Amino acid sequence: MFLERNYIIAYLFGYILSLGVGVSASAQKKISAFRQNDQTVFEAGTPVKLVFKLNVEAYVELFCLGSYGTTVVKPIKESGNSCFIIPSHIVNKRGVLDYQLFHESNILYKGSLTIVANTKTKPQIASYIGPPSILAGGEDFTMLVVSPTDSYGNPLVDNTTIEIKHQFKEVEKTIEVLSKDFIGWKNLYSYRESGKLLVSSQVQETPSKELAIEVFPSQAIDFEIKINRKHNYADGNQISTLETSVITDRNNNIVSDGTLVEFMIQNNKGHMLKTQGATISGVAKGRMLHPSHPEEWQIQAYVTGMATSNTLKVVYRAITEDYTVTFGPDNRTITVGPLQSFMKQLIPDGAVVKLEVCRDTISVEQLIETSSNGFVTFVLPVDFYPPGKYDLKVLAFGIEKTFNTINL
Amino acid sequence: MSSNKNIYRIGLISVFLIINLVILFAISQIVSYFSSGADRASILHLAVKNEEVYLPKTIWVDTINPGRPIEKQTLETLKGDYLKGWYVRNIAYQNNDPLGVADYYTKSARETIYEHIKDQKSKNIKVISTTLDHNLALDFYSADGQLAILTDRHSRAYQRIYQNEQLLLETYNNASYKVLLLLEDGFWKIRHIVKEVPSVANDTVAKTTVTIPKIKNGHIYIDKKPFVIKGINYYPQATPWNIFGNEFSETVITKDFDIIKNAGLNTLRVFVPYEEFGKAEIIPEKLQKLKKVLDIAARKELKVILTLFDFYGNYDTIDWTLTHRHAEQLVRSLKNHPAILAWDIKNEPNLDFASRGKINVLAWLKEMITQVKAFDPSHPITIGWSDLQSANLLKEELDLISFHYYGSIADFEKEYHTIRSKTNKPLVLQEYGLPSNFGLWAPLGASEQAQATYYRDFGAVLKKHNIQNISWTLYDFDNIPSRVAGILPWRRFKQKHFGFIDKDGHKKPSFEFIKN
Repeated sequence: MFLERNYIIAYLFGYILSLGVGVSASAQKKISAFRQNDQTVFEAGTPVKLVFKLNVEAYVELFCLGSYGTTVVKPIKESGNSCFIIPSHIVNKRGVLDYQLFHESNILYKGSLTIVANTKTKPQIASYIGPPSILAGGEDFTMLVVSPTDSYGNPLVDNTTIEIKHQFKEVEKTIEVLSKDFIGWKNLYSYRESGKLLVSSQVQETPSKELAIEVFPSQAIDFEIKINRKHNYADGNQISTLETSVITDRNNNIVSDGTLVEFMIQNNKGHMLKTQGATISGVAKGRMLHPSHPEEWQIQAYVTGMATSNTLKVVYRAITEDYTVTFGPDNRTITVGPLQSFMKQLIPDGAVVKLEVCRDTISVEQLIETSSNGFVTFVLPVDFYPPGKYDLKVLAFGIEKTFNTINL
Repeated sequence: MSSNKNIYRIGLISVFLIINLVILFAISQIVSYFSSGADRASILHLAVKNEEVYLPKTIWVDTINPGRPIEKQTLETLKGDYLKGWYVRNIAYQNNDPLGVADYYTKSARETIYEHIKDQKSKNIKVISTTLDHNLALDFYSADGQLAILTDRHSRAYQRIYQNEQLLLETYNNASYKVLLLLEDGFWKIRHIVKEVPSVANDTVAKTTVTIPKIKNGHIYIDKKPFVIKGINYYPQATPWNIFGNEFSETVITKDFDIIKNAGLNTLRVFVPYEEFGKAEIIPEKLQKLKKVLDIAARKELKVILTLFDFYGNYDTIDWTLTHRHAEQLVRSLKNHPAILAWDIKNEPNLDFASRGKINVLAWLKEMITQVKAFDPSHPITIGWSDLQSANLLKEELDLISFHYYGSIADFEKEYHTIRSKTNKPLVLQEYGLPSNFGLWAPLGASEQAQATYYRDFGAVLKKHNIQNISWTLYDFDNIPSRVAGILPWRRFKQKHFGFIDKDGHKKPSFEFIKN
């Protein structure tokens, strides 16, 4: 009995010893891990569960590196295996997902999964178009970029068919493009006419919203001008109106309202006059006061940098051949008039008359007055013009009259 | 009695004046506080134009794309904003705070980042990371300049993951990304980013004609001849720790190098201070001065171990890329210089373990070795550890194991054998010496004679084991910068007397043993 108990103790002792050796042996044994499920491609949004079998019982964690960042996942024990459920915000995003199984900073297993865009959910479309306005004529274009995504916001796989549709006047077209690098794109060129181009796109059953592009007329081409005037006299009073023909681009689209036209006028002395007008329905008007003396004008109009008009020659005739200048008793009041226009009528108020006062051939002053009731009166005050001999020159309607050695 | 009254008067008046002054001062402070408001420009949402904070090596490999040709200006902003996208994301995952993410990610993309942050917060994880290089190829640029797609091929990143403040894992990874960016509010914001299987990068190694030191069987060879380092740590006498300052003088350096050469030494150790050289953007004048030093060394047939990153002490992962640019500019421009013997990454980095964290410092060093190797695959790389125990660190990555020793000669052999037995790589005693600082501040300090004896005895030990060595230092110095030895006078005093030549230019008795 006593012996027997000794045996049992010895046996137990041996057993414990062997157990201890076993445990220490297993602790030293290198941990290795194997993945149990070998699926490597997952659609975004589907749950991803990785199962690892370890040769030794050990606490392992999983490090995941996806498109948007990293995380560490704690295991769930399932029939002796370590299971990891990757969090949804990682498996919802398309891209390569690298994972590393580690135990106390030692990496036991490395692998990677691919999360692809979900094909079962309804696609969503983001479309971008620009520039928002283009020129008619078929040379200018706008670019439509369509980025189809799945319901998790992942770009769909390359070679997804995208229908790009546009409507312009009677034209309605659908073009199919295949996506590449997340997007499908198409340059939409303008037609010959101006107007509004409506664009939309569609991926599978999902339509995009409508996008509108303004197609403006292209650059103006050369045009004609004409002049409208009440008469052809240089009365310095009436207004001549310069008018363009309907300005169009080369496809007959009337240029946009507000296109600025400049009218340049050169008189026979080589001086330049300028007026301008903006187009309304393609026609621009410029206005110019008649000259106050006979002149010949050469008129040309420009849409700066784009188009010019013909050159128009216009002659303004003199309204009168002569006028009367009368001196007051002391020669200090000089009356010009009556000033008569082309029908011998008194000229309307406002005609300009100039008087140049010279002493010893040196010009002292030039006085300018406008007519009133057909007359202009100059007064030469004694304070300013001390008594002596003066030369006086009167200028009106291009006619110059000289009075030499007048005693003031 | 009346004099007493006067004293009271003076006292009262001065108290009155002081109180008034105090009140006036207080009012002026309050007025200036309220009149200096926030900068008006801060109302506008303008891009932050501060100094560069994130500079991973980034190149445009290819910008040909079917959309439209891209302008140089846009290419720069696109690159800048894309990198800032990585920067704010790294910071966000480090602090678990979405600050700045909204500026560089569109609404839908930032949602995912916020979810990541939420997940990390709930698990108490933080991720310290930095990307190291980006090789960009432009895939598409839209006609209106509002949308761009690029591929970032083979981008390397470093990550450290902490959970409950415990380091879980340290990894490098290599990934390619395809990225769609939209121009919103003047920022290129990331709309989609998809990680792809990285394509294989082909590293091209440039061939150089310079005779480069090679290491074979634990020995250094130059031009196939064995080279045994016998050198000295060098600073000019008048400007210790400030060679490249305003008092830089070629004459002084030439004279000093003559002394060193004539003493029979063949190597110098020269320090490049990180901040003084301009941090991420090297100041050209400083580089010119450094090149002159190397030119003189080459003329005198002296080799130079260049110690980089002197006085650098940040090591933060987010600061990595800036230091990489510093190293890149230095190493790229100097790697073909015939005077260069080796790159010494950092002086005594193990002393920063306590204040900066051993993990931080070692990770920075390890990556810096990789970086320098990439810029110059040929020259040996070393780190000047402050003691022999640390010389065990990173010994696989280094080509040359360097350590410093200021202990007693008696203990040296034992410690040396420990490290000798652990590696076959060449070992260099990169700093050793004894100050002859006997005097008021060091009643127990060594005399000049004792210094000579020290060098003689240490020399015998070094000769016995054929140990390559670099002594500290040529001169006694007059002025020690406080950042080197602190402000305690006995420390500064000690640091002043390590030289073989005293401050009057006389050779000390130890000079006889300068070439051990």
